[in-house]
Amino acid sequence: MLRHSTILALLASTALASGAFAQAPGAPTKVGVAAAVNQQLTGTPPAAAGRVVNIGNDVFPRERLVTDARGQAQMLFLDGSAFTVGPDSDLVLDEFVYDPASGTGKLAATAAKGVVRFVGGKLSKNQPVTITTPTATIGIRGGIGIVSIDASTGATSATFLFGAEMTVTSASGSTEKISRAGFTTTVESRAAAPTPATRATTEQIKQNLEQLNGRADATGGAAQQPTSGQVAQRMPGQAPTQPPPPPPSGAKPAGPAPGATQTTSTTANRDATQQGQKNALSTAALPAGAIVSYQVNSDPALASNAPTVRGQATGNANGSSSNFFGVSSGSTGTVKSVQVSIAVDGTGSTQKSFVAVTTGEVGDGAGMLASTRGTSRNTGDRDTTGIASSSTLSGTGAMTSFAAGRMPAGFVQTGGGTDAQLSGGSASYGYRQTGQRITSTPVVGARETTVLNGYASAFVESHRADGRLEPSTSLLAGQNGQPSGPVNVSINTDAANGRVAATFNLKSLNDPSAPAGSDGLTSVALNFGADPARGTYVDRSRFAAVESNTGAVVNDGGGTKTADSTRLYMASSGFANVSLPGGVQACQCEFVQWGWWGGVVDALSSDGVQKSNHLHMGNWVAGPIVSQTQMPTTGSASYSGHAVGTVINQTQRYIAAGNFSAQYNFGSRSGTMAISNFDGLNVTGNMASQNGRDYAANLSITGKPGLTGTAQGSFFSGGGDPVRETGGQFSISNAPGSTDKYAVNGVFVGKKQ
Amino acid sequence: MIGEMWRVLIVGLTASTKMLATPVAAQTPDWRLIPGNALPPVAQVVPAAPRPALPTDYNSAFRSMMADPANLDLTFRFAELAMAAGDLEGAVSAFERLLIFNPRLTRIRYELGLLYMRLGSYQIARGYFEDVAKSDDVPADVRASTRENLVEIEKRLSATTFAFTAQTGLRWQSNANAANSAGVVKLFGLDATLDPASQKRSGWNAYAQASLTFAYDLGTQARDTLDAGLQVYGTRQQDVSSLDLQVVQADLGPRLRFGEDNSLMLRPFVLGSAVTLDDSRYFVSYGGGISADMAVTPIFGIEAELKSRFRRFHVSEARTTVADKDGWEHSARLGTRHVLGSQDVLRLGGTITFANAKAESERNLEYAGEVTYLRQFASPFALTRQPWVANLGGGRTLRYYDGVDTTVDPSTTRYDREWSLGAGLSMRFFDSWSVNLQLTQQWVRSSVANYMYTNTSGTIGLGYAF
Repeated sequence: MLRHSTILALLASTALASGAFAQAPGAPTKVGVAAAVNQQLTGTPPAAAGRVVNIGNDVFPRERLVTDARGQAQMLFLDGSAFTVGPDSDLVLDEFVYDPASGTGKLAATAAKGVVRFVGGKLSKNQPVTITTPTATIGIRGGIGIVSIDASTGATSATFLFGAEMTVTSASGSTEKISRAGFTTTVESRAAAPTPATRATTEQIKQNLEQLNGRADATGGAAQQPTSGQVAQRMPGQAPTQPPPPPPSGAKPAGPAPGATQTTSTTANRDATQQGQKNALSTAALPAGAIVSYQVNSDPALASNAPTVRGQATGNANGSSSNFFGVSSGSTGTVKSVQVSIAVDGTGSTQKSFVAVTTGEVGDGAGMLASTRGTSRNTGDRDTTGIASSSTLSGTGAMTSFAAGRMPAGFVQTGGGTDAQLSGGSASYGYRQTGQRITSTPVVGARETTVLNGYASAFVESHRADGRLEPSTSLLAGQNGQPSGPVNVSINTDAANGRVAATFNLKSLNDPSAPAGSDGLTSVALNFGADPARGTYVDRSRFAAVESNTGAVVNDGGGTKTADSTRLYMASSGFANVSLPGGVQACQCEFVQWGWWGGVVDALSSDGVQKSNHLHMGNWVAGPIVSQTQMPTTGSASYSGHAVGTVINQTQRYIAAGNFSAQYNFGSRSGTMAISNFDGLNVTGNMASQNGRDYAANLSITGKPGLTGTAQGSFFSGGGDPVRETGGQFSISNAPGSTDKYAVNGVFVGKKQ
Repeated sequence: MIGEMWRVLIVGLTASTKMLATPVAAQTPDWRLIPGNALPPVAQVVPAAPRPALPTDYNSAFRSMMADPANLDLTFRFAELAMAAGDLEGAVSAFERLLIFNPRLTRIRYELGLLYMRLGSYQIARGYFEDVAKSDDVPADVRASTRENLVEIEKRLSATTFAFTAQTGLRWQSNANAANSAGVVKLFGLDATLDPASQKRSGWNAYAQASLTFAYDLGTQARDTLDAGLQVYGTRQQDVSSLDLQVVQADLGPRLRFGEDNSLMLRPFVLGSAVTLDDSRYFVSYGGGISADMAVTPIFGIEAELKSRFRRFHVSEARTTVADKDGWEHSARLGTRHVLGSQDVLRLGGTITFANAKAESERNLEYAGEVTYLRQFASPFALTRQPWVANLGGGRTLRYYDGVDTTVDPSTTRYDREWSLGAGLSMRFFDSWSVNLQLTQQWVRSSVANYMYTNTSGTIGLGYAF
């Protein structure tokens, strides 16, 4: 226990001293001094009696220091640390070892009761200084702490005031670590765990300080009590004007991570940028030939299942309405539009049918001008309604114009028109409907700029202003004084500009029930689509037109004249998925197109009476033809397809269809054709051709007595084959003067098998 | 050992000197005879020794004080030298001893308050300052300083702290509307021509951003807090008003610290935001995530974040298909921080983001990586001690889209790739203000022409931080 340095010291001091004092061998070395003492503090070294400790006395290892009810003392140790004890405290200095050179060693104490403040010196910087109480062991590293122990229960409270860390380990083995200044924990009993660290209140701390920071009636052992004046003399002149700065690990919150606001703005900007790129699309101009489709919503005021037409006019026949198509002709051109509705609903006398065609094109301004033409039959008899209206379309959303190849995201179509019945009634109406661009790309077929030729048929029902009944007239393609052939129907398509124009020349076959010498249209020359906004071409199987501005030329028995008013339509069947009556399968033709046409032509009769002529849902067929010289001269082929046309049966009028087939020999230029199941009839004929391309047949009909008919047709080319498909017109009627009114005219079309 | 010997020798000398002059008291236990145990000096028996010169270094000051603990001069001298040497605890125990000598030394209480405040122990500092405030035997300047300090202590003890930054400035971009230079875009798979108004144009915009963070001290030893943040950001374009943007974003979550030295930080959070574009609602989002930060060594740190948020877009006349973007967006980020020297930091980061949008054409997976080098240096003007910071960085982003956008091009799936390069300087003036310059260059290539663009942007902004 005794260190040789101590022995030397003893000897040294003994040598200097007068020797009046006996040296006790084995005496302990002091570990510090009592730096301040308010009586009473008693110090009891191990194995010795207690003594009153006064200021300046040394304190020794394993010395037990006890204060009475008024005692207070500060012990200052060799390493610079200090223990201050309050009244009724009991502290034993278990261990003090200190090597000043390295600053290492150990300081441990046991406190049985009272209140102790520990201020750390060099030793506590390197390892914890421990204070053991009846219920806990406290380790303080690098700092300042206050420990108070209840005399009766041994309950220990420890408050960490400064330093690296204070650990409080209860006798039961649990530990609470405190690293934040001003936090305190309590161990209530030997069995208890330390309470979770909480902030100490200033009041709690002040209570402890009162017991540690002097007594009003004592001087701590100082011979001369320091005075305020002496203190003031030694203080710097002025109190600091700023509060001291906080210690380095500041209390500021972490704040946003560097660049967090940067990220917010970057992602937000990127979203905005992408939206801008999308917006740019909505004003971009499409190249020529680009097709965009729109979903059109019928104005509820029309009470109709088809847009642009009145439900009352069409009888809301079940059919199919196509989308509204916009066709671009490039950034320097304009946009054309077309929408077609077709219905053939039912068979026989209860059948309801209608066609409505709307075509449009951008006018002078930015709005699109459109015209709607159509006819409907919903009473099964000769009465039909002519449908005519005109409208303007303006774009909605980011783009309002259809000019220069632009397709708005939506449009509003406002228009008005008149429905005119054959029997004389009429109704005017208005509508406002909207369309939204369909974002999926429409499927578009082949597009070409070409001329199609073919055949057409229609019945004309007329109404004279003087009420005299007019017989029906059957029209087939042809011109008086001209050979029959496909040239009488010509359709010119212009893919680049999205336009179509057509010319139909038809002449009449006499109505079998007409009184001899009665009037009727003997010929018509009709023009479609030649002017802007009159005809639109989508693709090979979808094109439609309304009448050209030039009007129709009609011959009503007294020579040709221009009609007073012409409202016509023609549309290819590809627009709408309409089943043929009787469940007949339509021809899967690729190059030959077939469709519907009709309208209202008003003209003066040959005897000067206003006459309105209604043509409801006639048929046409047209395709590419090649010159006769390219016809094959050998071989044969079979064709299969369908025939469709209108039937006049007594007072009833309806559309019927049947299956078409033909077998033809190109060497002999002859063959047979058949139309079966057409309104209960089976039709056959022998085909004969003079030029190899165009043929004619006389028809034999079974299923109804007394009927005869004729057919004319041609071969159409496609895919390099000059006879790939075929089609033509046919008519059937009773003998002239028969009382059984029955007549048919229509078209047929077939594909090589 | 020799040192100890000398100390004991000196003590012994001193003690012996005293003993020579002092009669031995009557009641004497054995060990009192050992040198070093002097009787308490009886007043005025000993003529006062001539006052020695005060020690000039810490160690000798301590020893002198230990030898004569009641000596006011030696105690003050030691306290002065201790404070100068950074041993504030030594000064504390010296001053606390003076209070035992005379508890009415209000000025000493004031000094103890200052010392504890410097140590960061505010409750006990407040106790001392309250004692000073109650008495009237200190000069006016001390009383004023005490009041100020009490106010400051309230602030520092406050459980809630907050930080605020704001910046406003101007930005010029060579391609403000991110249009591709050719002016040709894909529309329905066809090459459509951009309207002249939509072609690439440069432009100015003004921007402002502010961020407010609150931290509520949860009272744990790890200094865990509950943090709430609010960020707002807005831009106003000179030309392209369709890009006018306003963003409000808020987040809430505890910041928890773990580990021996609280080096690992984890923060689970919830967040929400609302964005308007061109002065009409654009989208709102809500979600949450967890972020982590670990100071692995003093010069190397790792940060990570996982975040998911649901975005709901608002359909309007100008933005009819925007609901296609509705959906959850999940992102994962990992970054590292390398302290290269006392003035340089290098940061690397990578983020993967999956935007699970409703429409296939908007659904995309993005990989982004960036490198940033930061260098701080002393302000060339003596207006502030805060350093200036220069930054240089670059990034690469790849974005893969899930499906085709039939309105744009039904035959091509979008795939974007982007390079960006930036440099900037943040100049602090006066402690809270800064002027920030930033220059950025972006090159974006895409499989679909509509999304290709290059953009040069320059920003100058004024910032304030509290």
